[in-house]
Amino acid sequence: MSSSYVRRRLIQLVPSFFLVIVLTFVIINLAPGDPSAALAGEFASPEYVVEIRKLYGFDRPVHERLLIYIGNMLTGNLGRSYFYGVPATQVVIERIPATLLLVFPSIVLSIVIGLPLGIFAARKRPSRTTAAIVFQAYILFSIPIFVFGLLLMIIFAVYLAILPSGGMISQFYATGLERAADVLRHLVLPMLTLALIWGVPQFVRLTYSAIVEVSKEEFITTARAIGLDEGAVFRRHAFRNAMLPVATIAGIWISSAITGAVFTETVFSWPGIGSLLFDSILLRDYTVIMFIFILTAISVIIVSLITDIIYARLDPRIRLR
Amino acid sequence: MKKCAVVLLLLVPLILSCIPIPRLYGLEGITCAKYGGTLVEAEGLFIKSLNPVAVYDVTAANHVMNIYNNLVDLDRTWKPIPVLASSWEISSDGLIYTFHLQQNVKWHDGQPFTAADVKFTFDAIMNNETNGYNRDLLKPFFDRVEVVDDYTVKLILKEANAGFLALLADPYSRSFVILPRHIYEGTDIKTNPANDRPIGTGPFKFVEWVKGSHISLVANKEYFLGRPCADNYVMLQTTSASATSTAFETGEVVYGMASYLPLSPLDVVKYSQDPRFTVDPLPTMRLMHVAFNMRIKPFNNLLVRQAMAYALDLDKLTQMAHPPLKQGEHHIYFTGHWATNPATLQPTYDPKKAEQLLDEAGYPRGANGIRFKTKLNYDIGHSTAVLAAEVLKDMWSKVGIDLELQPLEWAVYVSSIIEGVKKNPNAFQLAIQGGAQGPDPSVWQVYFGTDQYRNIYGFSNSRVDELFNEARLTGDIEQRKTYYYEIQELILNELPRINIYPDTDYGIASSDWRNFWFQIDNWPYQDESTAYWVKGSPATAQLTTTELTTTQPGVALISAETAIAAVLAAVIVLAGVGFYISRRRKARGK
Repeated sequence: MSSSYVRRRLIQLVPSFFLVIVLTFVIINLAPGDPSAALAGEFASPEYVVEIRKLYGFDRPVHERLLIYIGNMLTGNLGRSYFYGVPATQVVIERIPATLLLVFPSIVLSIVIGLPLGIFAARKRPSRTTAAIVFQAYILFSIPIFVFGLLLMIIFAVYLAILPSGGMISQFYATGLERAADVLRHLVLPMLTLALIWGVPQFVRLTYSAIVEVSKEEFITTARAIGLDEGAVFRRHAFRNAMLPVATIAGIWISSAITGAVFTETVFSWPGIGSLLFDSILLRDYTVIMFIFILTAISVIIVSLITDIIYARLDPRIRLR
Repeated sequence: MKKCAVVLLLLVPLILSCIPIPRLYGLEGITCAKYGGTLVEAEGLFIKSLNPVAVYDVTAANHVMNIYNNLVDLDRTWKPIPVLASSWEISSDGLIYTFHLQQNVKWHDGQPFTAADVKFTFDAIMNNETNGYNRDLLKPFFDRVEVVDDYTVKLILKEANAGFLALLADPYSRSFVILPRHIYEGTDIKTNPANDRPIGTGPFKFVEWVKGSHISLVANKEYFLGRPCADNYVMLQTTSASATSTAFETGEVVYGMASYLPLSPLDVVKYSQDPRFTVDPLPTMRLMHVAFNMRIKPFNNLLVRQAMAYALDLDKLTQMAHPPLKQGEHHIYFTGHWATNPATLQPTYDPKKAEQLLDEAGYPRGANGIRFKTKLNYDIGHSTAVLAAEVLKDMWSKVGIDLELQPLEWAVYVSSIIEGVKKNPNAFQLAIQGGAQGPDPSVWQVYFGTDQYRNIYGFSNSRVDELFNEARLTGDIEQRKTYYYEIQELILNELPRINIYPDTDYGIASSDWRNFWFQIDNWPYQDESTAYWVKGSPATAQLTTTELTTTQPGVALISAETAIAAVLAAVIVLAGVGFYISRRRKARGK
């Protein structure tokens, strides 16, 4: 892989990035509804609504506002949150830690549960066990994430009363380890929801399909033919080769974890950027929405570049030019 | 008379911008039956800022009340009472207000409160360094502030204003709380970090604000009006209906206002029947009604509008859409209000009469039993309106009207209906709307004045316009009554809308806590400083408080910088592992 490839990919980031900006801006600004009314709130006076409209330029056409936004962005100004009045970047960055706290353990849990299950299903095929695992993965994947979240909440927070129903803390005045323990207690249900519905089924299906595909390759037959036992065939050949596509797809999917987080955070009142995105859409806080989408776009673009590079490093058949 | 008119005129923007539950505090000092406990309030509204002088935020007004103080407040008869100002004199020409300030009041960081803080706050407002809303209110008549000594300050007006003290109280948006000069002087007030970590003189001290999660406060033991009853107060942000109701069930949340929460009326009924909770009705000034678009057929026909009113069993509708509220009579204005004409009752339930009127109007039943189809818009975020829409559909179907329901988000409702109908007469056919229409009836003009903002009906009556204007200019209640009585008769004659119920809020609280809210003139108020826990310590017992030693905000579990560093570290580690594996592979290849 040449450094010119990396350079070229980085340069390609720029038009991709701008395309995301333009599309996102146009879509959210074309959404119906008066942003001034949403920002001012239901109880505000009509005069205040008009003042908001003039202040934020909502009376200007969309293309004019887009040009102003891009112009500001080039000077590093991503705008102020219309609702909070502080920089949009500040509003979003404040909420990132909560989302990372939710998403990363969910990803780890998804891998820890999903990968072995997928491997087990692939190795045991064809059998009822395999069918049960794969079927269960599809069922879980089909359940709407907020329905599952509510179910867990009813079981564990209401009937069993062993876990909190939502939010991030309830020991509001605790500090140190006590505070950390309180946060972790609150993390259990949203993390389980995100992992079991969004993460585990993906990993089970990915791993299972990848191993099944690789097992059909000729080099696997060759490995058996030269006398390697099944365990060694699997460990040295099938598994390693199967992990390449799994790693690639998982990388891209991880970078768009915000999608699953939006529903989970909203159901559990978890104060991350997922619930911020949901609230900002209701409030028509365009600058905050834009910055969240920018962050998501950047993370997807960069992670896909990294996974391509790693993939090329790991697979000698691939030459990145 | 003129002064009263000016007061009324000044109060109109305040009233129009009001939230249902403004706070009063410092009424007669705080007395507590018991002390202790953590008061956790659930709230589903979004808060912009904890500095109402810097950022206009009606929603935050209640929380601001716990941290800051005004110079004066209003008592239960709307009379100004002392808070930070212990007394005052007004010059004979009404231009100079000399305030004598409470002595030995300290800011939450221990600095003394003095007249310099008052001067700083009002200078900042007049220099447009703050939210602009408060400056616009003062600009017409306010001149300057003069400090006489540390505890005496003069607020000097350009012209007399009988409503000035009421304005200083401003219970709706708290835009005139006093700011600490030593924190804000020399900084940009609108972006000062103290707006997120406020230092006030109020009954509670700020601990932390985790955006999207909660605001936590701790009792100010040195509060000059007496320490609050609870040890701690937390506002817990919640936007999930399920999480909210579960939190009430498990006792994580002590109280909340139903209209601020994503709860349905059926939840309110459930809690009202559960001995673990008390549910107090708190009437608002929002009169929910079905609006006709009188510009278009068939609603340009009075007979149709009357028929549709006769087709509604409003008692049953209220019972189904807004339990546990029960209504008696149904007037054109709020039943029981001083300005309500008792003779102006809406048509009572009579479906036969409804059918007869619809036949007369030229809308007989078709072969399929339907007279005409129409569409009803409403705010999907308003839980009682959502239920009311279903009931309306059912009731009108019985007289042959086929109703299509089309809920809209509030922002869309405003743009497509309230403002949309000004550009497009066909913007809607029927709509459910509410909005504040009191406590003073002068605000009602926004709904019935020709071309006024909330007059989406297309109603126009020059005599009604005249009567509203005359009523605003006089302070004589009896005279005003005659004007409003006549307005209601004229409205009843044309029936541009059907009132369905007065939107009533419900305060839901754990039975273990008392003394949250009270009412003045049908207007509800809540007071966190006087709410007490029945399991707390008696007033005479030794008091202990859970108090942090610092008023710095609580440190987040993980700071943003740490989190970003952790992510970058993870990426580097992964890249390193990948690189290592590839090098090993190459080495083996050799």
